[in-house]
Amino acid sequence: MNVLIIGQNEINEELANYLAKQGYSSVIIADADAIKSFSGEAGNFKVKTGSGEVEVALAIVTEPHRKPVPDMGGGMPSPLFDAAAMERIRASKTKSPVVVLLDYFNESPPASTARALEEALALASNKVNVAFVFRFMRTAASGCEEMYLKARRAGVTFIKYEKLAVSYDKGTGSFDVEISDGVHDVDLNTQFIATDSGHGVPDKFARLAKKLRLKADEAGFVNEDRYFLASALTGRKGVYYLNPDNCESWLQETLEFIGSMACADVNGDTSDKNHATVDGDKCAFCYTCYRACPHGAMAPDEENRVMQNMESACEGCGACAAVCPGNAIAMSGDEFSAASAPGKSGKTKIFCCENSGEIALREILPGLGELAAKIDCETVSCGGRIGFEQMSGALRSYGKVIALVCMDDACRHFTGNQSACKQATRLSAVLEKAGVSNKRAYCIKTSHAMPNAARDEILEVLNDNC
Amino acid sequence: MIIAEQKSIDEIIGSLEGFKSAVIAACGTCVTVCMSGGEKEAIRLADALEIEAKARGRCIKTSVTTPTRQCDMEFLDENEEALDSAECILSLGCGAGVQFLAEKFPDKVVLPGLNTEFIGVNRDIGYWTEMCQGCGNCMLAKTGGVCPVARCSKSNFNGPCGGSSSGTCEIDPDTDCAWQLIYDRMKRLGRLDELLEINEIRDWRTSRDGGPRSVVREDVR
Repeated sequence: MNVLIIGQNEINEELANYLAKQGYSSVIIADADAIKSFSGEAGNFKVKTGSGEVEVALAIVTEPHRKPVPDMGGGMPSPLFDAAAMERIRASKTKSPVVVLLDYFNESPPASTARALEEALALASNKVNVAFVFRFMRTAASGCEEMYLKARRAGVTFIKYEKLAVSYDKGTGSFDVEISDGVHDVDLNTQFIATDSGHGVPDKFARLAKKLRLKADEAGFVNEDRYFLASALTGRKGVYYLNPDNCESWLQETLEFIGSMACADVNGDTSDKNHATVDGDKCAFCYTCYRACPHGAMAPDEENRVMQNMESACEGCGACAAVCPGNAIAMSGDEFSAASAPGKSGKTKIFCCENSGEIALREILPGLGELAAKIDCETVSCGGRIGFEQMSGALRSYGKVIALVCMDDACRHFTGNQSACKQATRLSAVLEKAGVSNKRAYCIKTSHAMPNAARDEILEVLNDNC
Repeated sequence: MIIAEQKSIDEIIGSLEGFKSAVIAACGTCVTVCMSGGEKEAIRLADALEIEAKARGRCIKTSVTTPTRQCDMEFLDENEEALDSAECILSLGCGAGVQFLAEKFPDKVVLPGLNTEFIGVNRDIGYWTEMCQGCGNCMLAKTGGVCPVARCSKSNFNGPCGGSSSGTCEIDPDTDCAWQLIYDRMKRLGRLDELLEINEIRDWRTSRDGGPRSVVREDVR
């Protein structure tokens, strides 16, 4: 079996040797821009380059996805994700405070937050004075809250700011950091700033991700902000990302993980799995589903001028069916029961996604007591599957309709949860416009870890008699 | 591709005043691709109309049919029975589709459900931009493949004008200055000297100023 290794990374040779020992042969394309097209599914990818075509079963991306850390007026801060640099700071026993900087205008990405907290804690435990300077921080990712508390107990000073100015003094070799939250100003002088590159990937990585049709977050990362993608998965089966930030400590473990996932991706039984089917007569060949599919599972059938679904690549989320403007895509498995039937009036219909939605609802229902009898539930593969027409269809017979879907980081299909919320908002707007109570269509984001918050929201909906 | 947007529910339901039933005619080509008048949007519009009509104490029975293209009579013929099954037709085609349906059914009211916007391109899901105004005398060869007619707010033939600032147009900081784009592209192509040539005053009779246009190709008739 051929494995494609893509990227400019010194780890490629080591990776190829490892794969050879496992019985795989490798094709290395160091220059990601050399790839002209990448099509097919796990076990059977076709890669076109300027010099020809090659068939591979799997692809491992090693192209670094982090921009280099920015220059701060002549001085270079230490990259947060560079273990050697962090070790240098720890070993320096510096007297001045070390600044750990998270400069994000929006919530900081979980991976960066976790890494920054980890380093701050390690430094503070080493009796180093640490100032953790951040604009926005999110500690929702698994383990972060605990690390945050530990870091506080270890003496890390957390400083939230609105304005920041950093200058570098070549004479003393130190950074001058001016911080202000609009009320208080703090000036720090430090030998070391540890930071990451900020939000965004290098252009070359972005081009590669687009060519491989890997779903990326707003910053361009293909697996950074999604814990369900663990450390090496991407949205596309058979394509893995070997995070260079983790290479040093996790290489062996990551490769074993990729090996186990590859077996399932290539040989997995997909016969009873939900998947999309395209009605060729209705398909306008508009590529909307091709663009929308988070798993790279739609492929053009050039001969028949219709789009087709690659069943083994398809994860059955229904993002394609929901977005298809020609109504040409049907999903196997999901059946919406929107037709009227007795006993629905005054009740609430909950469409829940099979991930967080269903897990949370199972927790919630027993505690609802008599109110549970006022709810009809239906599980669908993903929030992305819940369209305007399904929700409005439910309202023909039900009093209210709720889409219960994942939190943003948890949606296994990336933005299915947001799609459900948009459809609920659109339906609410129509209802409001019609002068009918707009309090009939809802979208609630939930996490399996905190179903109580969703329970409260559901109770509020059930008890609202508008 | 022709880009269109759905009219407001208010306007649509207002135009349906007096009718008890309507066929919503989707169109399977341009407006499907630009997500305004395909079968999916037609079904959603039917639902929204039902909600709105009910709230107004009215009852409008709707059904949906989808000719592959409303601008070809054969497709309308194929859908004749479905299209003729209600008191009126609400077309989700572009302006051409609405009018062709009206020709097909001379005794029936045909109403527009869309506003036809422009000829444009698909930049991302849900994002389209204008690229062509169908002026009938394409000058893209002279302007590096960027159209000053459609993309310059003033349709200037020699630019940029004084309203160009940092690459954007004075009408809106999010609108690129077409002449900046033209300059950048010609520079990249090494053809800046061609921009020194003054473009003569344009004869707009090939465009709308010459009245309704038609194209007759004897060689293919």
